[in-house]
Formats: sequence, C-alpha cells, structure tokens
Amino acid sequence: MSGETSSTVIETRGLRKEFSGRKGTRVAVADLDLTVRAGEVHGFLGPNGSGKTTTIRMLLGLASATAGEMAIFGQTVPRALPEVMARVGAVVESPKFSPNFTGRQNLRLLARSVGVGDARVDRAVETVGLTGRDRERYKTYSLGMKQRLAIAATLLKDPALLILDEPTNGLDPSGIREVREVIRGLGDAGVTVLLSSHILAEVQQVCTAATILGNGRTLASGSVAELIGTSTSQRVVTPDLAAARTALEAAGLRVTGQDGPALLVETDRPAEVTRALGEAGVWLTELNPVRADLESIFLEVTQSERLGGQIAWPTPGATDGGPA
Amino acid sequence: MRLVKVELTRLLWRRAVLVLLALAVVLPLAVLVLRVVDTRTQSFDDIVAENGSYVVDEVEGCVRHPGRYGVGGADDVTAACQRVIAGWYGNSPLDLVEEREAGGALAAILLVTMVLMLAGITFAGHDWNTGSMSNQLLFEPRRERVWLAKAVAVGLLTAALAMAVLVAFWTGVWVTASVRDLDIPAHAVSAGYKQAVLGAGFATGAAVFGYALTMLLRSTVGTLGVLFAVGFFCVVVVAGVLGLEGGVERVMPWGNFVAYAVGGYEFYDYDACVMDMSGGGCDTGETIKRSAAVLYFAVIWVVVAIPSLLSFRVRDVP
Repeated sequence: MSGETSSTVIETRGLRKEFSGRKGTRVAVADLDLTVRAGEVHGFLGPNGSGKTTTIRMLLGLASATAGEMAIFGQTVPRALPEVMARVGAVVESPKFSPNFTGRQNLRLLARSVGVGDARVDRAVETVGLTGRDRERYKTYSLGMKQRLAIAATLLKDPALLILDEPTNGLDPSGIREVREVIRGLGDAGVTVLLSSHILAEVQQVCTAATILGNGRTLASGSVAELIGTSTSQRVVTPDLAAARTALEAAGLRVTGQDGPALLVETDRPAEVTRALGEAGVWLTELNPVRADLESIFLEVTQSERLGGQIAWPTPGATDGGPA
Repeated sequence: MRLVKVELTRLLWRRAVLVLLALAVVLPLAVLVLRVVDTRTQSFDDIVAENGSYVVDEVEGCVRHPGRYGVGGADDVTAACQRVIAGWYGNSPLDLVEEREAGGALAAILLVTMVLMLAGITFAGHDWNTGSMSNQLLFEPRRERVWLAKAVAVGLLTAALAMAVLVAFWTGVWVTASVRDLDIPAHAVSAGYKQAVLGAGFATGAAVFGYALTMLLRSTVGTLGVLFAVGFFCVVVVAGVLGLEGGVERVMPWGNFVAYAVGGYEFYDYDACVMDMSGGGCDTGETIKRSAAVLYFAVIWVVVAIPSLLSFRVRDVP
C-alpha cells in the first residue's frame, strides 16, 4: 500500500463496506483512511453506527471489504491474515465463548489452536485477575469477568497489536479502572493498541492518538494532544455582553453562544478579540481560550459532519500522529 | 492435525454432544435387548400366559381335527398341535438373515445415524449460537482449515462410535443365536458385519452432513427445521398425496437407505403397467441397487457440503 512505513501497524485506504438488504444498500464504512503507528494506544472514536466495529471486523477478516485496501504490519489483509494474526490479539464487540465451558477450558481451546501451552493460559488468567475463578463456568461470569476473560484470550498470543472493541462496556467502575490499567500497561510495554470506544474520557485517559469516525468516514485523526489542542474558541467576559457581541460581530468574529456571564467566540486568535473590543470601548474582564476536552472535540466534529460543515481537523495525512 | 485435536476436544467437552453419543450407544443396545427378548424361546405355558386361553382352545380344535392343521399323521398329536399353534402365537426365533434385511439391525443403524447427525448439528450450531465462531477465527483465520478440522473431528468421533456400536450390536445378535443353538446360514455373520461397517459409514456421513448443513444455515433450529420440512415433504406430500407410483419411490430416502444397508430394495411401479400398451404381461418390480443408493446419498451430501465450505470461506462471520 502507498504511504506505508515500517512503523505503520494498521493502515487502511479507501476502505468501504456496503450491506445489501431488502431496503437497498447501506454504506457502513465509506472510503475510510486509518493509520495506526507502532507503539500508539490509538483511540477509535465514533457514535453508534459510525462504522468502528465493521472496520475492526474487516481488519480481522470476519467481514469482507466492498472496496479499499487494508494492511497490518505492512502486509495486505485479509490475504496475509494467517501470517499476521499470530501477533494480533482482538476482542470484537461482546466476549463470545462457550457458556458451558469454564473460563480456563475456553482459553485452553484457543491456546491449543495456536500451539500455546497451559503456562501461557495461567499467565493470561493471572494478568487479568481471574485466578481462582477460571475454573467456573463461563455462563456464571459477570460481564466484567467475561470482558477480562476476553482480554486474557488476546494475551495468549503475546500480541504486538491489540484490537479492543469497547472493552469496558458494562463494567463497574473498578472493572473499568482495572481494564484501563491493563491497556495502559500493555501500551507501556510497547504493544500497539487500537481501542474502539465511545467513552471519550477513557480514550483521553488511555490513548496517545485517536481517530474520530462519523458515517464511516475519518473526521479527525492525530495525537490526542493535537486533537485537544486544536482549540478554536475564546471565552470572553465583559460587563456589557450585548455591546461586546455587537463589537465582535462587527469585526467579523463569530459569536457561537453564551456560557453564563461569558460569550463564546470562534477564533484561535485572542488578539482579534481584544482589539475589536478595545476599539469599541468595551473592556474585558476575562479572556480565556476554551480548553477543549475530547468530548467537546468529538461532539463538535461529529455535529459538523452531520451539518455538512467543513472544520479543519487534523487528518491522518496532515499530522505525524506519533505517540505523545 | 493440531486443529483436529482441538476440535475433538471441543466436541468431547460439549455436554449435549456427550448426551447424544451416549444415546447412540444406549438406543441400539435397547433394540438389541428387545430383539433378544422378542425372539426368546417360549414354553407352551408361556405362550398361553401371554396370549390367553384361546390358544388352548385352538390346540384343542387342532387335536379334534388334526388334518385341518396339517398334523394328521403325527404320533403325538397334542405335541404336534402345540408346536403348530406355538408357531402362530409364540415368538419367532432369531433369524440372522431377517435381522439384517428387515429387522433390528436396520433399526440400529437408523437410530445411530439420526442421533449422530444430531450430534453434528448441535456441535456446529453451538459455535454459531454462542458467537464463539468469530473468536475461533481470530486464532485461526484460515477458514477452510477450520471447517475441515471440525468436519474431520465429527467424522472421526462418530465413525469410531458408530463402528463400535454396530459391530457390538451384530456381535450380540450372533452370540445370542449361537447360545440358542439356532441355525446360522452360511455368510450370514460376515454379511452382518459388512452391514455394520456400511452402517457406520452411513452414520458418519450423516453426522458430517448435519454438521455441514448447520455450518451452511448457521443455526441449529434452522437446520432441524429444514430437515423436518424435507422429511415432511418427502413422506407426507410426495408419498402421501402424490403416491409412490411412477418411480417416485426411487428418490425416497427410505428405499435408498434399505438398498444401501441391505444391498438392494425392491418396489413396485404400477404406473409402468398402466403405460405398457404392448398387451403382454407387465413386470412391475423395480430394484434400487446399492450403487444407485450410494450415488443418491453422495449427491445429497455433496450438494450440502460443498456450498457449506464455500459459503463459510466467503461470508461475513457475526
């Protein structure tokens, strides 16, 4: 694939998936470009139905692509999946195991299919904190234990790439924290992680880079620091908000809203705000850049997509996207 | 080979499969026990106790009119009459030829076949119902290997079990006949063992067929529904409504099964005579040969197995 580098672990170009049904053809993923580099813990964000899981399923060979190219570790998939899957651990959607087998039995079957011994099963069980419960039937597990077992399954192969689809879904707060710690630990150990999630705080806490999806397309991509740093709003507090609004709009600035005693002005140049207000004789009480978190970025970028807006977010080709 | 071992383990860890395997042992054993009991030697008193006093009345009638019962010249008319009447009302002795061609052996093969086909269905259905198939493919993405490994595991296990059970069944029949000192026709025993081997092959094919159909339909219920619908169509619609004339019987599963297991199946095609305008005598007898039955089942098997493998290779896995 073009643009491939030795540090690129996952790359998709023009990836497309269409589902045909009685009601016609539905496009789940539309010409998606995604780049995940080695060592990243890469958040894969998007509203429900944006194409995250479908993309992951195509990468892992569970679904076929309608068009486009995919590569893992520089090798074109799905053709090269037999070679690359030995280094890929994945949890797709909810954990899926045989309910009447114990957790250990489920892991042993998977381990044996790749020629891995019971010692690795023991280590994986210990890593996810299931020791002592692994001999109970899977159907008796809580959702948190099921998620942990699924993560344990990914560790059987000693993966260089982990693909986790909503791994903290349904977990209680302590379970979420434990899973995050596991993911962070794997990231620190040099494992590249693609983490699909719609829990934005989770991505912000755990990930070094992120891609935001909307309607199957890449809306923004880059390091988390870059995405958050792309602040385009200023919070303006003055004693006379009406006069301030008039002055700012007269200067060609867009007032996007009001937040209590403050106006929100869309610009990344605070000097323009002070000059416009100064020239109009309106004195500032406070002027702060709005510190965006991933949630606001996500909402803004997905809303913009819905409205057909053209906000200049970092895209895979426009940033080095390296680990923060 | 590693995958086959994994799938064998998965198969043997499944409780539902184990229950079905146990049934595949118990049901033919029950048939054997029933056949042994039904063909046991009975005293005249046992026959009277089982059938009532009219047996005694019948013997008395025979003693009064021995000529009517074909024992006119007997030295001991009463004993001769008891033998004749016992032959009517008492058990038939164990007959190895009949057992192979129309008796318990066919029932045993059929039961083993049905139960092992269910085992194949439930084995594959479980993977789809629980969604664990996708998990397995994350560890072995070569789908055709996964399909084949599972098929081989089902085939190996069911072949071994069916062979053991059907050989044991026939050994039971043979031992019973020997112990009872019955007349055993030449080649009857070897023909019985040959049928046991053929039956094991049939049951194995059916188990893999059930597996393949479930892999194609991706649902236990769907597979059972299709099999039921086909059975209903064959038996009720085709045989019941349309009738078996005109050679329809040639494509019915039962006739072909008997032809396969016994070596041939005879039926009568009366339409052939209706259509025969020659005016001469018309032979309505038709025979399905074993080779035709093998072809019949092989075509059905291939028509399901090949699309099953191909669709598993290309279709998205939920």
